[in-house]
Amino acid sequence: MNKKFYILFTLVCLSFSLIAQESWEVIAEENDNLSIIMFDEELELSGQIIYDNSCKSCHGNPEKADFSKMLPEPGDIASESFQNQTDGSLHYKIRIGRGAMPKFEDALDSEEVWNLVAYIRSFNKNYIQKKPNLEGIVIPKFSLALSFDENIDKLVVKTIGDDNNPMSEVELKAYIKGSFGNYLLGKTLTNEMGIGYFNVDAKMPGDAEGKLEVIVKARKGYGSAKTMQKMIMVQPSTFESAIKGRHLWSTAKQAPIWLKVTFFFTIISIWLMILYVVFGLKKLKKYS
Amino acid sequence: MGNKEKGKQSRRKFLQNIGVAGVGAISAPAILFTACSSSSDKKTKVLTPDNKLIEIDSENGLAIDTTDKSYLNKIGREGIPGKKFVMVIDLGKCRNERKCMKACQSEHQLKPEQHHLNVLEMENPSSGQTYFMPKLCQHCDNPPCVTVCPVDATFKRQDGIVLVDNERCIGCRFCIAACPYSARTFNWTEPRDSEEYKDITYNMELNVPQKKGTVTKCAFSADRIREGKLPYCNSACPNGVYYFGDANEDLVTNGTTKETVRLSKLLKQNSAYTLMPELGTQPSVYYLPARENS
Amino acid sequence: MSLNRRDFIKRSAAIAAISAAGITIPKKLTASLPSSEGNWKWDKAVCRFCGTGCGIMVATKNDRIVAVKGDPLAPVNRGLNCIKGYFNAKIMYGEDRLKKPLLRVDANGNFSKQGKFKPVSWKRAFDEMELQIKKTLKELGPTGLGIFSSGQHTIMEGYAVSKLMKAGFRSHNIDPNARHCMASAVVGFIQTFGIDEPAGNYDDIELTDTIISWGANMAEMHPILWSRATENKLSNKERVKVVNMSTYTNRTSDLADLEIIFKPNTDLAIWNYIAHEIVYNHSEAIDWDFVNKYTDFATGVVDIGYGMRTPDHPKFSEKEKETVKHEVAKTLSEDEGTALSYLGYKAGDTMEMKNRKSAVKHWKISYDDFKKALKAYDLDFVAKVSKGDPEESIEDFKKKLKQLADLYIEQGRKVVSYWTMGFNQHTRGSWANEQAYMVHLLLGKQSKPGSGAFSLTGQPSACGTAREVGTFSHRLPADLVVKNPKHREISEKIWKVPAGTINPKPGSHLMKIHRDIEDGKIKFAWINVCNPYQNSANANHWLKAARQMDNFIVCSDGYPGISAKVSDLILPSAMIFEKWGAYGNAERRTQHWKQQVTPVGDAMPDTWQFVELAKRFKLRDVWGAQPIPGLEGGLPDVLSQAQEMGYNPNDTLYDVLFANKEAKSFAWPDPVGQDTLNTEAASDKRKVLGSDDKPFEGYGFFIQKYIWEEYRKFGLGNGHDLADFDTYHSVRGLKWPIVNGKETLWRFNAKYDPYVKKAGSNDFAFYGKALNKIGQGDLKNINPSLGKADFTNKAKIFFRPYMEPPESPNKEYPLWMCTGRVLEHWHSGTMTMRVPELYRAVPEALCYMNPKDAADYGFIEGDLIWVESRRGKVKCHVETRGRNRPPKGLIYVPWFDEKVFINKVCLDATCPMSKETDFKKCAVKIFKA
Repeated sequence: MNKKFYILFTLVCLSFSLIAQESWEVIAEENDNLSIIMFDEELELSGQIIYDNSCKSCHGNPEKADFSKMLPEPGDIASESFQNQTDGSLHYKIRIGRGAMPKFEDALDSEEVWNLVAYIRSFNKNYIQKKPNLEGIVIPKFSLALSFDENIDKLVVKTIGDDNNPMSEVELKAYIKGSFGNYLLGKTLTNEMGIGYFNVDAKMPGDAEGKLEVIVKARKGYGSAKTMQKMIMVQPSTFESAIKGRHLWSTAKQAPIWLKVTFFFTIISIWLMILYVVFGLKKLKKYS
Repeated sequence: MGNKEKGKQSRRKFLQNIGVAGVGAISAPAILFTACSSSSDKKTKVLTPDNKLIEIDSENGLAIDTTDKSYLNKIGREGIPGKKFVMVIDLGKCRNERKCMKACQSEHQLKPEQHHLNVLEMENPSSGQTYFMPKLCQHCDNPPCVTVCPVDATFKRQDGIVLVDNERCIGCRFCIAACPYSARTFNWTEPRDSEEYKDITYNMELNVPQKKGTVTKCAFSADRIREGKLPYCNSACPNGVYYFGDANEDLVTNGTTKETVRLSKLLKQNSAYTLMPELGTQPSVYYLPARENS
Repeated sequence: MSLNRRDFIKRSAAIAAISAAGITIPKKLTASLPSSEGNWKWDKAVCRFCGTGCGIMVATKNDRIVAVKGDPLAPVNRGLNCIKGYFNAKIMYGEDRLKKPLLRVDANGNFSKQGKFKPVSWKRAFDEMELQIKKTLKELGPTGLGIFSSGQHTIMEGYAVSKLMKAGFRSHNIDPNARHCMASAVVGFIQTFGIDEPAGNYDDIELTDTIISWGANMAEMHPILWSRATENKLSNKERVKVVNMSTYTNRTSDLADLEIIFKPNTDLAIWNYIAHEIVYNHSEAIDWDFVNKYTDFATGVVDIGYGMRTPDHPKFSEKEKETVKHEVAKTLSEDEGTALSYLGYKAGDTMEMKNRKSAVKHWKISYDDFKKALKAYDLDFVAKVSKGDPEESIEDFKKKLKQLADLYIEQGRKVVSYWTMGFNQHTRGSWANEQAYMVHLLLGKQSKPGSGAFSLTGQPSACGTAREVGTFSHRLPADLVVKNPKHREISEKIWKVPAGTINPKPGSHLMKIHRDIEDGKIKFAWINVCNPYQNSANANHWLKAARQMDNFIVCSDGYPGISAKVSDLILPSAMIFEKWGAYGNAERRTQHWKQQVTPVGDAMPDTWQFVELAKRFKLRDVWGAQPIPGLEGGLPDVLSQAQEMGYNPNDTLYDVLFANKEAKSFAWPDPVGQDTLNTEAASDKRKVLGSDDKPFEGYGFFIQKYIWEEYRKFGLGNGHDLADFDTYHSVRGLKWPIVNGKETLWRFNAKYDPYVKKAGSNDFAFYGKALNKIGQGDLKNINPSLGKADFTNKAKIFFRPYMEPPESPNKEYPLWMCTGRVLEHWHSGTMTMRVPELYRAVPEALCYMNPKDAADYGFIEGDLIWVESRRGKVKCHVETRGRNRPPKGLIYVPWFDEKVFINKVCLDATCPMSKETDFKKCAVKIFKA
């Protein structure tokens, strides 16, 4: 009876560990992806900030194995299972996610993910960063020009290369800046005229002039560009303070007038009554 | 005749007394009034470190010392203009991890039995399915707790956040009685690690250091959101339960995945609801229903 | 015999129509009125709406129109009206009828473009207009003025404004909304016959064996003509055949024996297929006698662009440039490569649009060349190119095309082809018109009773006013043109203005007036009896220009439509029966009516508005030397000549053009106007405070009759003869040319048209004078060494190839979008949407689409969707089971509804020859709103 139990137990444990170490294969192209920037302390620091903000909740503190109890286990980033993977594999998995691991592709751009990889590698003493072979590869350089087509409510992004020619097939991502994060408007590729379009919901609230702050990130091959601009894209909106007006729950200064007046007169009348009583008593005393 | 004179005398005296009493009666609320009114735009009253009340020019007065209590007091009361903070909690994702509670209690100097945020196990009455619901201060737009506070220690600011000023709180606990969500808690005893926190300047946005005999509650991590960061609970959750954002922008960001979505769309598509809407408190916290068999 | 349900319905509909039209009614209606109509006064009038030109009877009581019925004596409709016609009275009494002039003013009462509309007096209105016109003349000269004229103006109004603009202000920037309607037909007529307007008349409907409707939903748009066609069809079921050629199934298909759904623009290919069949497979059908004596062959240039502005124009958005770039060069598709192979093009070639400015160039070719050009248009090619319904099999479609060709070719079968906007609102509309004549002329089936190509007119007086009076940027009355110095001389003589007054340079056509306003080249515009800000494509551009740029726009209308809302000054105008007027319909029938009631509020007739404006301008203001961009030397000073003619430089244009000696010779009262109101001549009971703030007492002479009699002079003896004013008030209209008191039924046919004998022929003569001497050449070009060909008394048989529109559906914008009307509403709905019954019948414009398309997109009927093109987007509700049933890949949205402003979506590409906008094709995408 006992023996059977122990065998069963072991099998169950094994199966758990098997499940936990279920392999996550990455295609060759992504596996071989490499960062063109060398990892340094600055990048590691940036990566640490992102890690603390976004990853620590599940992966815990590095080297302390205090990650969240989930299945499959998030794992300690300093552990072997992480360090044995290639840079490209880590980059891919962070971007694309799987199951409980969110895809950070839209929340973080490629550089930020490389910073995370740099931070992960900072716990590996034996790590030597592989450099990508950039021979013969031209890193495209381009700039972005933004405008808004109000007839059809579209954000228009024009990519112009160094030679002033339009650049097609550039991956564009447009975001609207929010207080705590950036809202993804969409992803598109530029057409042969070097232009990409993004739909803007005319009902989105803008500021008092109807402006929204737009961030556009572009990437082609190893080249990238980014631009930020505040543009009028929607109707202007005015925001009311949450404590506008007089309510019972407002502070004393904003208390309803009727309350203040009633309060005041009640106090006065109580005082008057007290005085009347006191004087009445005094009078009585005098006469007695 | 003597009586009459006495009467006259007493009448005069009576009138004089009334005059004095009247002045006193009027001045009492008047003093109250002025005490309650906040300072004007141009000048700020600040308490110097040696307890002197002085007025300085708001713009170019003293260099802003962010540990200066009066400065913290001012910004704590004012809030962040043009914003209206809301939180959305996706009940379908909560697995009772309680990392949010741990982070909250650790940052706000709370004992394990004190909850600004509590994860409760709930049961769906029709299907019998259990789910976990984090419950925190709802930062109502019609807050009953603020209505009852006799000293204006708890107040709602222009960005929608309801805060507690522990320097003012007299510990009467009316607000705890008034809150229908049982979101507030009381420091019956000395707060946790009160020795370590002794010298820290009181910041009502962070709500630290706690004070014995005062009320404390969730503040939507007002100190974090002032810096553009998500509240402690949002960032600590591993399961993607919390969304936080500005309703004026119609955008909320998820604490785990950092994905930003349209608030109106999120609420509409997921049939969001608030707790106890029939009470008319107008909470700023929305719940997305738990899913069947999730 | 068994009647199936469809036949039964058709039969009962026909019976109703017949019985209504066939009742015999006594001549004098006044004699036998039922007692309830006690003191109603009946009079004959003309329907306000479409180009059919039905006659109606209106009853007035207490100075208000109380009843309308079809006029049984009217040959056009014989007592029947369509649903809109019956509400001819109610359109005048809508709730928001404009009653006072409205000017945008700021807080101080000064004009301000950002101001709100406030009621002002007529004097203030004219003061502001005078100020703005003088300001514009100083800054830009006569070309800075623009007038949006109309095919719904009465003939008198059109003549008055045309004279004022062309002889007074010396500007030709006057163009009617008929430019959007019939311009391509006009070019087709002038190029083919040398003279405008159809040869046949409505009697063809009863006399013919075959009614073929091309891109025209006659059942809804010319309902009375369709009732007549239905009667013919149902009385001769076996012999008479009806064909509906359309890009979507509509109500006309219900009667049709043969329905052909083709891809937009491929009507060009289908005509060539019919010609191919005739020439290659049935050459015995060619009436060689007719062809050799009265016609000859011609062709023209093809690289003419699409009437759009060039892509470098600063006001184009990036998205728009995707389409507009075709204006300068287009890569030919596979189909175009085959279609244009006769010129040496092949698929993938880039065609550079070199002949954008010389699109009308054409020359004579030989029959052999003509035949060679048609070679590529065999059944296989044309069927492949033109099949419009993806769900139809190619074999079925081929059978249908062959049937169509056979109907034309069949010996002894009379055929009438009808078309309206499907051909005219087309980037190659002039070509489509010419191709219709090509087939009819080849077969000798033209200008004969029951046989002919008949271009149906859309508007009630596009013929009578716009085309015949010449209220176009390049025309003068009676088919005279601005460019011809002899024509200008004739006009100047009749108008009694000095030689050299009329500007020799044609002005801006309607789309160009919009574009000029956007470019700041026109800063004063006056809108009359039309709604150009709702009816012009690519509306976002023009709306912005009107509201945001520095200009002054005046709108004279009965109701506040979109144009009124974006204008700066709104003038209340008298509507149809509140003034004396005349309309000319599609079959050349001119019909007059008398004023029936006093205008509402302070509304005044358009003629009065033009004439009052004329009072504000002295000869010295306008007849001095004026600069004209593009005209070397500008306009000469004619004041000295004017003085020689007896004018004083301080005389006003009113004195010279409208209140001259001849005008005053037409006295009022006049016997023909006995017991009739005449606001312009004698004022009315309101005594409106006029342009001088004094009560208007009337001009004192019969100004409408004067205008008519002067206008007549242009056409007499030129094939445009009109009868005198009084005659028209005793008949139900007459078809011109009226020679020796007789109207002409079939023109160019010696049996009916006296001008043919005058031209020296006993059979036929296409005696139009325009474009008679042209060059000769081969298919590609003119060969100067061959000299000129003479087409006197001959018509041209054109070869025109198939070409694609500038914007076709692609992956991003996958659907064709077509727009048009519905039966219950007229044009932009300013009148019919104010009639409660018509509004209730069709309250909003719906997006008609194929149910399979809706299912693919996940829509259900009634869903609110966005329809978006590169130029703009609008929201509308989906309709999958409506009156229009498009094939997969096409949607149809009518344009009568202000709330569904579909012209924001449409493309302002035009036929480069006629400048008419193609409203029927653009590419859109749809998604849930």
